Amino acid sequence: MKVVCELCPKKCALNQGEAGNCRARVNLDGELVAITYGFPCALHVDPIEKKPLFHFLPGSRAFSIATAGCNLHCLNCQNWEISQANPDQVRSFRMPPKQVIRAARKLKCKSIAYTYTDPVIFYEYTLDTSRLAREQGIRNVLVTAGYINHKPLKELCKYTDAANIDLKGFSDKFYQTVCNATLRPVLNSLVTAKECGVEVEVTNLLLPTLNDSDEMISNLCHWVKSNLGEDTPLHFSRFSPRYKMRNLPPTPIATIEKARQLAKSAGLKYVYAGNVLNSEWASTFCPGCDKKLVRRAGVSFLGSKLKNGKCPHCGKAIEGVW
Amino acid sequence: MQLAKRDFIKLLAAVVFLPRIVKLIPQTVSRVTKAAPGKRAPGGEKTVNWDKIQKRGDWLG
Ligand code: SF4
Repeated sequence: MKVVCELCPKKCALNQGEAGNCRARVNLDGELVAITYGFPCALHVDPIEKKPLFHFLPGSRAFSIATAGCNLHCLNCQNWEISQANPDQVRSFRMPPKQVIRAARKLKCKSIAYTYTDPVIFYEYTLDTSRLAREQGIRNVLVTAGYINHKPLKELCKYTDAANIDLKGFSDKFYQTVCNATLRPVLNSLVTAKECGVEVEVTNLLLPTLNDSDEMISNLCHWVKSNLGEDTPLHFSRFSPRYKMRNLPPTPIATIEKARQLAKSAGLKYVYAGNVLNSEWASTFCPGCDKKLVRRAGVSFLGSKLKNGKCPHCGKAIEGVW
Repeated sequence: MQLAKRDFIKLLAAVVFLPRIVKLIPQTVSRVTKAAPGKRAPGGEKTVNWDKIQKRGDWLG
């Protein structure tokens, strides 16, 4: 029997024995099987700032897990060794949901991050682990491209506390040619996550000549402001040549600065720069009085002056979970 | 008993075309969002090194 996987917009129709476009879901004897369920290939304790999440439990540790495969195929992928591999080419740990919770506790992590590849393709594993974590008072964090259908995302959002969702470029053509995906479902996911009460931060990785025009950056910023709100943290990330995109140079610092300016003039309150050695661009400033409130250097948390989530100087409430 | 010429042609047509027609009928399709968990590590297992896990996964972005 043919099985149509309706988890993500690719809607793969799988014949007996076939794997989906993400390689992690297979039709085995007429049943759809998530072959990486309970078998993460990457386990690490990361600072939450590395996700990046700057407005969610700063300075805390996130137990970070991933399984092999991905439903996007970005030519610049940073983790292509696991995201673009067949699960049967990658050795994994045996770690069912209960053990993930135990490990997170043992390692004193306040949250579990489903990350590195994309939690969409290990959806059931993420969902079951998130449910258990929620019961045990551990938070759940998604780091995702947001390429997922509405219904399953809504279900997952019930147990998700925060998410960093990539908005890889503000053009469908860019998504099609660079990521093997489309833009609209990603925009829908951003809105759905926000509506469900998830603490959403957005990352835009700037690729020289491909998604760094003033017009595209500006359109992206205006969309974020109108649809997610001016308090939504936006991270511009610097590209370094990887995978199938070694022909491009790293993003010039001037481009990052330009993007920051465009975001600020669009009215966004919290704009950051990633993969850049400039601590000012990684720190949080009060939108009310412009005082530095949370100090960071890269992904290292250096200290916070916030008092109950408010600026101690002017009393303005700062968006986030502190 | 000999088949009439017309019956023979009908039988021949059925033998030749029936399998083709059957193929045209779509297979049953099941549409699902959730998948069943896999039973074993598809690419083999490795053991957890707790010390290593605590070091930042710097190679992963
Ligand atoms: S999750 Fe995987 S199998 Fe399912 S539709 Fe998307 S790419 Fe295809």
